[in-house]
Amino acid sequence: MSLQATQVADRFGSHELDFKSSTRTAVVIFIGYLIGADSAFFIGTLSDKIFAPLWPPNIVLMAALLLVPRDRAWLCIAASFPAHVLVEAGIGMPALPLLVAFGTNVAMAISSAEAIRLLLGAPPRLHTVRHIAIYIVSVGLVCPAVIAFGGASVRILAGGPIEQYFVFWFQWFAANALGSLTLGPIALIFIERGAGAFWPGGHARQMEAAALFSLLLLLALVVLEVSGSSLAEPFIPALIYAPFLVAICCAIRFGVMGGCAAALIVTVILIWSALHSSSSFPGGDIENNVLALQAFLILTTIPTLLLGALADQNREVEDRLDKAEDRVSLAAATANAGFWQKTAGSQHLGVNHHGRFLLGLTTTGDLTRESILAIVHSEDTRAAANALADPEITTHHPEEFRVVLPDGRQRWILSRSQTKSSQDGDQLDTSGIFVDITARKVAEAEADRQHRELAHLMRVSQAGELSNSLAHELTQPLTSILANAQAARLIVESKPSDISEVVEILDEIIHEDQRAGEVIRRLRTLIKKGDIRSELVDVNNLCEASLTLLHTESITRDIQLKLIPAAELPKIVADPVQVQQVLINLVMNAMEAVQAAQSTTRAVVIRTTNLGKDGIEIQVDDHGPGISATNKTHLFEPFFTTKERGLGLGLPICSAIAKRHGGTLKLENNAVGGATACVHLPLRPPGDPCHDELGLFNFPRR
Amino acid sequence: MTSWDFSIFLVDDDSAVLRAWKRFLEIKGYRVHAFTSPAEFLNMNDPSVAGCAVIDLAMPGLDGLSLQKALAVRNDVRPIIFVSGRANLASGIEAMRAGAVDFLEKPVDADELLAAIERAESLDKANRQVTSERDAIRARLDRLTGREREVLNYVIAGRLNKQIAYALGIVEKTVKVHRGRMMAKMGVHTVADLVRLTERLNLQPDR
Repeated sequence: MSLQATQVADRFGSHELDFKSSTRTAVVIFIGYLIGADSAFFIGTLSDKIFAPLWPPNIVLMAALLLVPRDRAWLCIAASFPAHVLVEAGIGMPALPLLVAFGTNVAMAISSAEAIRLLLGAPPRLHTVRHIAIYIVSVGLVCPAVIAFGGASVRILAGGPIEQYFVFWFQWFAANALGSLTLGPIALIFIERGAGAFWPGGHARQMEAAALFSLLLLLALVVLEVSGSSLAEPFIPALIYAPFLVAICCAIRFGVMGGCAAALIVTVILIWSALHSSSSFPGGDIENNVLALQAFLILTTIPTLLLGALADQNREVEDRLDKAEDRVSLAAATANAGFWQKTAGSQHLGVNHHGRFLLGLTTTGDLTRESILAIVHSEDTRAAANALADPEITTHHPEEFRVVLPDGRQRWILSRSQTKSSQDGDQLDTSGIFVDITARKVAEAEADRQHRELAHLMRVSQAGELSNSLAHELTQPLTSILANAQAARLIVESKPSDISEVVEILDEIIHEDQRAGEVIRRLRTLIKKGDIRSELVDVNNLCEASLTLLHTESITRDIQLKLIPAAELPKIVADPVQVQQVLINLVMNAMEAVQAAQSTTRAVVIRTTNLGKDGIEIQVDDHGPGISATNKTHLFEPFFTTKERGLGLGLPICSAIAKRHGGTLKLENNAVGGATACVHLPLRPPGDPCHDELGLFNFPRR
Repeated sequence: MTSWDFSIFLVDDDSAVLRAWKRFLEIKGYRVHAFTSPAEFLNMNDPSVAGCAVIDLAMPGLDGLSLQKALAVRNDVRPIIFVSGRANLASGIEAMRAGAVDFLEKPVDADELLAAIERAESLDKANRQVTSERDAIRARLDRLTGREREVLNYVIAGRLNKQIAYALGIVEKTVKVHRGRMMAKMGVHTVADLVRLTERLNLQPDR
């Protein structure tokens, strides 16, 4: 819109430039005034040969005044004066009425121009019904009515009877009002949009315009022809209305411009015929006929103009709506989104073309909530049902679900909606969109897979680091088993009767074998590759198990591992393998820190804390050298390591695991000079399907 | 071969291993004392009891090597057999250098363990024999008077009676009397025997 306004202003400015050449301006105005007056006289004058029922020169002068800056108004007036003199003297008007007539003409033009500048802005705009209504009232009615008091006196001065003053007044008023109503808007539109506004765009529209105006001309001429016959006399009112039918059509189809042009044509033809062929309007004298005709024309032109403005306004709104719709469709297509709509209580669901495409629906028939739920992946039925539920039942969170396409592929759909009560206030209408988020979901799954692989790799690397001590863990039961077995053989060889001791030995062998099995099982969990599991985890138990894994390692490093478990710790939903991985990583780091510091307190303390509804916390304290300020900023950057053989992936992965559980991992220096690693884990990860508002999460998911 | 007088001191933090070894070695005829921590063993250890120690290298608190050092500080020469769950060559070498009898890797083969224990037993026996001989010599030495001790020093330094008399400022005859008593108390007849005895005690002659 603003672009168009700028162009208009430019064009307006360029007109101003054209008019800067004073001579040219003057000549143009002179000629314009002359043509206007000549055409008025051509259409016809009343019996006094002075008064023309349609007076265009005032409109020419008004347009000129609007086009030049205010300080050059004198030029327009000065240029039109000789034209006025030329024309009026040509018809033999005496000097005084001539001057007074010019004065009233100038007053009419100036008051119209000023009213337009004041009420419609510069450049004047006639786009809306409001604008055109203002124009009709001010320029079309009030200005001519006021100035007509002066105009009427011209006739008196020219010798007209004083009793006829108000007849003259009305004639003068009607002549100028007709000019302002039919020619005025055309001039203003020309000022605003240039000559291009006269020609409708597109072949079809031009053809239509040509057809309509031909019809108008034809009809007007037929009316003229027919109205001459005495048979037609009773039909005259209907006959002179007939062209206006077409004028209204012109206004509807081509707006103010079309309406004005049609009204102008009708006006010219009817006035010309009223003045020239007395047969057209039989009965009464010509003066009265013209007066009646003027009144009729004014009254019919006003609704035509309003209708035209309405059509213009409508067209603009439609245009804007079209553009908005285009933009929305473009945005939707770019985002791969489809629209849907539903009224509460109704099963019917409206889905647009792209929406159907997204759902993989080829039918064009009516859709219901059920028919969409039928193609949703069975695991996601709940989410889809929520997404499409009536607003009374659910708050409208965005929901994600899969639909199964006809070829068996799955597509992830995000549905987002908003509910408003309809205009009568009774119904709740929900509008929503479907967005194809398959690509995002695939990327998420891929990121998930990579995270799992990396976490697994790090566990394998942990297992590698621990392999030495784990081997030792295995040799203990094996040593015991071997010694026991050899003892048993000795017993059987030397005193076979002593079976009770052999049984005792066998029991011990079994027990030790189980112990070895346990070590292997723990190692296997550590390096096992599998999906992320979600189960109820007792973190105290998990800590204990992890410390068992690290038992020999801690002995070798001569570091005491101490677990201070919280007295009451709620179970959390987590992947035990990953949580253990984090714990082992942190304890190993702590042990390395203690070794590096040659600390006298060779201990690492693991503490669990119950945070109530916020979940739990695991703290790993060491008496190492602590974290330096420079290192602290890089702690969680991948491949940052202070160790000689470290990969620098331990902490980033631990942090990622904590985040995936909806928790955090923090590292800070503690009061004893060492570092404290703090893992916070919520009771359950966000987005866990078991998540319920009541906080009753004591049921395992699987 | 086996002897009830020979004790084995087992030190391992793993009670299952301790139990199994104790059982096996007892069947083999040894007297076995089991300790789950080095500190406990240090408290209970009586150096006079014949026996050897079987110690795990990696234990919480005091580890095997520290225990070996602690025993050395107490002049306890009890033979030590080290065992370990891991082939840690460095600590193995250190242990052997500090006088360990053997360094065995877990799980330990019974024959290997028994062989090591036998070696330790004979080493312990030899140690104890040397110690008892020394004690006997030192007892004889302690019976000498001051003058006799002085004469002994000169004799093992190879001095003649005349030289000794001059050095001590007494007559040669008196020296002969002291020398005779001294040789009798030490239970030797020749100077060569006397020198051998005193060398066992690492006595250095005054020169």
